[in-house]
Amino acid sequence: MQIDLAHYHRWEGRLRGPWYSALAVTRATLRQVFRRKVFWILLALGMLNFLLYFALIYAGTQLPGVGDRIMERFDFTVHPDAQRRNGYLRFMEQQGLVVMVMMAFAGSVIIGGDFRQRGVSFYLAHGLSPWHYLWGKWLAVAVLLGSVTVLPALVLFVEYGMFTSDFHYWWENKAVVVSVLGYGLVMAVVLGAVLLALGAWLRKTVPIAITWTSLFLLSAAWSEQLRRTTGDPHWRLLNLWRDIRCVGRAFFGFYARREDVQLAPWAAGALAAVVLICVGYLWAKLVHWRRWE
Amino acid sequence: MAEICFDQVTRFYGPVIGINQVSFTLGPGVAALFGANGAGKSTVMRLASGQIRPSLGQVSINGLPAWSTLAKRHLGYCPDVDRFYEEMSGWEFVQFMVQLHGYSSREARRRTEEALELVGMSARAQRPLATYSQGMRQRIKLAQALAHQPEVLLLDEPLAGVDPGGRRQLLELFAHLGDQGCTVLISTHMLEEVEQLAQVVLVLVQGRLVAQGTLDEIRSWLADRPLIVALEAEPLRPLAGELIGWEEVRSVQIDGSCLVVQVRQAGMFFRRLNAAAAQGRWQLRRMEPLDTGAEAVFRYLHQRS
Repeated sequence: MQIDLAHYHRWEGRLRGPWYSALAVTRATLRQVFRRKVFWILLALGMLNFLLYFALIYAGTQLPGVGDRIMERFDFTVHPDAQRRNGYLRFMEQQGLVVMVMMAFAGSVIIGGDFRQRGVSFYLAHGLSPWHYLWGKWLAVAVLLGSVTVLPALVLFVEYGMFTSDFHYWWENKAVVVSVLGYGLVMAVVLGAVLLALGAWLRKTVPIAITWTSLFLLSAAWSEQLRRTTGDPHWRLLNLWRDIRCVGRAFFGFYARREDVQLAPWAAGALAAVVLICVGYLWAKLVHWRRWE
Repeated sequence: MAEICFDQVTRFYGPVIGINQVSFTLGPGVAALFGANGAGKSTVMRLASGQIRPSLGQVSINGLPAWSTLAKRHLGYCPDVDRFYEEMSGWEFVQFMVQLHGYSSREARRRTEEALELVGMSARAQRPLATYSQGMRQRIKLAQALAHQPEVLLLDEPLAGVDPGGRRQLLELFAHLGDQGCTVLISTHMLEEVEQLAQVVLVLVQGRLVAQGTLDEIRSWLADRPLIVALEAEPLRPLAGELIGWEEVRSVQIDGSCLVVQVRQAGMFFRRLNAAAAQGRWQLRRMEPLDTGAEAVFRYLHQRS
């Protein structure tokens, strides 16, 4: 120990604000997540589908004659067509499964451990308010989610333009970028809020994974059963994952079913309510977190 | 000036009261927050470090509300948490904590190295936290609290699990920081640990601040507190007869071969008893205070407050 090093003086440099400090929370959280092999495996699984689509676009653009048939065979279209299909939307929805599994395992690492091991003390005593802490954690979820959905979808978009040497494609279809980002944002906001709330509440991996899976699978089963029994399509709003897809599809400008046009605003309302409840819970938990110990 | 100020602070945890109308102001130097388990020490530390808000009253650090992010830049906090981010190395952990204060990566690295050097952990900083002993964890926690060179340092049980040699080093460090003008508040339930360096002692009992002052002041209050003393002497009855006439004695009871004496002012009683024993009127074989436990002391301080 070198006690003569101990002293204090005012910091003469420029300290960055707490919103910037929250980025350190994001970095540290992601580092924690990717220290575990299971997330690399899940990421690799997510990338398998991406590689398939990547190869599909490559074959579709580089193999004249055969390419179109391959694209058709896999029902992939880079331009929204008369049947209102969109390859990027299709890709992002298929990635949903990996997202669900990844999030189920990530909750404990991202936020559960902070409450289980009382690490929240460190954050809240370091120039961060609960909002900054939540912002940092949410960003980590968003990055994780974006890395298997938004980012690969944008890479596919860039790839198509490059392999066709049709750079106008990017400009003419710039709405695709907005749509992909919009869908990604809806997923990140809703899934992020739910995951953080569940993680803060249940803390450990197994309970979080079970509850997370049940939340989405059971809500889908219940909503479908209730809709069939009553004939009222509004029961579909109970299906959280469907609500996300319904609102996400709005960014692409079309819906899976005609009834979704009417249900979309309700779905957006349902998602907003879920997010508000989760954020409210997280806020109360952080402000009064010692009460829950 | 580095200052911690509690003004009529009350904190509820639902129906449970954590601390009740606590007021004190601490300036540069070392202060000890002393109390039994559950007395409210950790609540005071969490309020001072801005983790929780008071239900009533005000807590400020250098005139800023402790809850604000600006106030937190003035303070370093070493919590009583034992396990955290086990996969991180000590170096990564301290650097991460420094970055939370808003320092650039380069500045954070520099301060991390300096803080680890200060607590004597430079050589072992690359090891994962999971491999650290409790004493090493304490040092790492201390490093993250000191790295940004705070004006106010809050240490929650900082010596728990530290070996005697390390304890001495850390106490020297706290004293040095206090001399440098840092306000150091050490929470402990072992007053003897910090009695040599604490200029001010705050005593908490059941959420109330029952005593505040220098250790000598508190000792003088305790010297004059009521006490129950068991005496074995020969002959017993003449001694009982003499004691009952003393002003400092409230009651005397003969219990088999010993006397149980209720004393009003312990300090005066012991001085007079010593003088009387020295005159050789009776032979004192055993003298044992029966209620010197922490609870009895706290009860007295509580009543006194």
